[in-house]
Amino acid sequence: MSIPLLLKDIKNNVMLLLVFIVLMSIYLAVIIFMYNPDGAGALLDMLSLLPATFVSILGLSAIDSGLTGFIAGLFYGFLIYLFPMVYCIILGNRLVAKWVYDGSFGCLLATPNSRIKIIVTQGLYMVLSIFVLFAVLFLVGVGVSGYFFPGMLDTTLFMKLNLSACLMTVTIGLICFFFSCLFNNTKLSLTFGAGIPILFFSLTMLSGLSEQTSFLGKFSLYTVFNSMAIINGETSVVMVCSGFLIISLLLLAAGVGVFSIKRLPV
Amino acid sequence: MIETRDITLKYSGSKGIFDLNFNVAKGETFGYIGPKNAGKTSTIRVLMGLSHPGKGSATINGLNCFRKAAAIQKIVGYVPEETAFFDGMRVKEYLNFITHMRGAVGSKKTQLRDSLIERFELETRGRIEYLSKDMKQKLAIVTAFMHDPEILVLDEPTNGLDPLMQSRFLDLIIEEKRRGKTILMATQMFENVERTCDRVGILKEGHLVEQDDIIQVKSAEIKSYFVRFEAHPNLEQLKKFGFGFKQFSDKDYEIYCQGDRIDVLVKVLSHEKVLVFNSNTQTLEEIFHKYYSQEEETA
Repeated sequence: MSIPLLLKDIKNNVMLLLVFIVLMSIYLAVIIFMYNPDGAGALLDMLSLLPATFVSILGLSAIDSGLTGFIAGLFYGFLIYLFPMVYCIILGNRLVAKWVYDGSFGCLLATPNSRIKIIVTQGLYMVLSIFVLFAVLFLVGVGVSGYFFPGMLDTTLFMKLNLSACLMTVTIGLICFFFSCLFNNTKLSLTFGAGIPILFFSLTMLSGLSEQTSFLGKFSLYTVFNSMAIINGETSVVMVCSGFLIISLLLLAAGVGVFSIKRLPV
Repeated sequence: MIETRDITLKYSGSKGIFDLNFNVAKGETFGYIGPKNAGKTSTIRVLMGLSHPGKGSATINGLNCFRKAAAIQKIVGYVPEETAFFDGMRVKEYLNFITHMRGAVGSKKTQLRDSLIERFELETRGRIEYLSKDMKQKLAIVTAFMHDPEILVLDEPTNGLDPLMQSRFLDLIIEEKRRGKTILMATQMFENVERTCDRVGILKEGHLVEQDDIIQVKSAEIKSYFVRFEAHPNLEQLKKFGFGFKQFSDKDYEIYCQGDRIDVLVKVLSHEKVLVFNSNTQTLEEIFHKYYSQEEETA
């Protein structure tokens, strides 16, 4: 890993990360604030006004009455796919394909650093920045819950929820990263880097629509992360996390591999 | 020190580079010349490990150019044909970044860097994207020379520089050469190699057509001179020594002379009163033309 390059990555992309941290923290804080310990109350009343299919597409059909379940349903059911996905798409393209496309990657390769070292640094920034995002979300969740509803958040469960969501996002990020390494062109990098996560996202949303469409979820990586199943202890967090980890490592290796042997465009 | 063996890299159509074999010895300055699209940049990109040949191999200091690119970059300074810098970076910030990427921060290094900045009058304030084309080229030159590399690989290094800076750059090359550096300079400008190179390789449509001593290339080249005499000159004398000429007026002539007969011309002209004597810088195409027509004759 190259420290000066990592510092440059931080400098270039810290604003992007901050925007997403602030945006998601506000959402999380508001959702926790909306919680009513005497029953989900007002929010459920509001949701009941919406068409049932719409609510189930958003993954909000099974709202738990506990605070942790409430957060899991509202924040980790739908928003957790959408926001980090956008972050990954933008960052993935920026880290490699953009520099290759505009030619500035040549400046990096004119220094005594191997392609592998450079590209691993770029991949590492992707992973680390996602860790930071989820670490902040965890702290915001614990902090805001502790302020408004002391003792009501199941911290261990919330931690598990964050960890799995974090590793899921890392996987998505590395999909974007892989295509960024593969293509010399930002257009292609974005087409695939955005297309595949959006496809996964759509499949997961559609699978919640009805019984007939539920099979679609099997084709989506997002379905592996099911916040309610984690809350109810229906899935093994260890299994989910190790699955994401293995896919992530494979994607990172593939990205580094294709980049280290390719011809850079003029 | 720099060696290529049968490197071939084909692009779509008939473009590319084909079976290139040349080597640049330690301490030698090699001019790599050819017109646009002859394959100069493609060759250099192979040498710099940005691309790899479909066939053949290239080595620098015995290291494979693609697999050992990082080790090679330690001892190489590279001026690309056109450098794309990072967006939103300031000049000093960029130079610091590259220095850090090279893993060295020493006072000696900044000394050399500052002297280069001064020498080329590089504007160091402001963002790189707002710099003019010649400033960007100067920045590329400073970047390539600031770590005092053993080997210099230069791709059209004087591109976009004004004549004064071109001349300063060539002075720098001559100094570096004296210090024993190995230099490969790709260029379309014959003047660049004339002043600095020991040997040249001439590239035509991806094939190396000639590798020669610079003196030999120069002696084969036919130069033309614009001469204005004070009075009507003795044309018989010129004809007698076999110089061709074109007459513009009673006193204005263009005289053609082969590179190895310049002294004869000077002797002939010494009998006349010469008011103006201008050499017409020959374009590379004209020199090529000579090589190409030779090829056809022998064929």
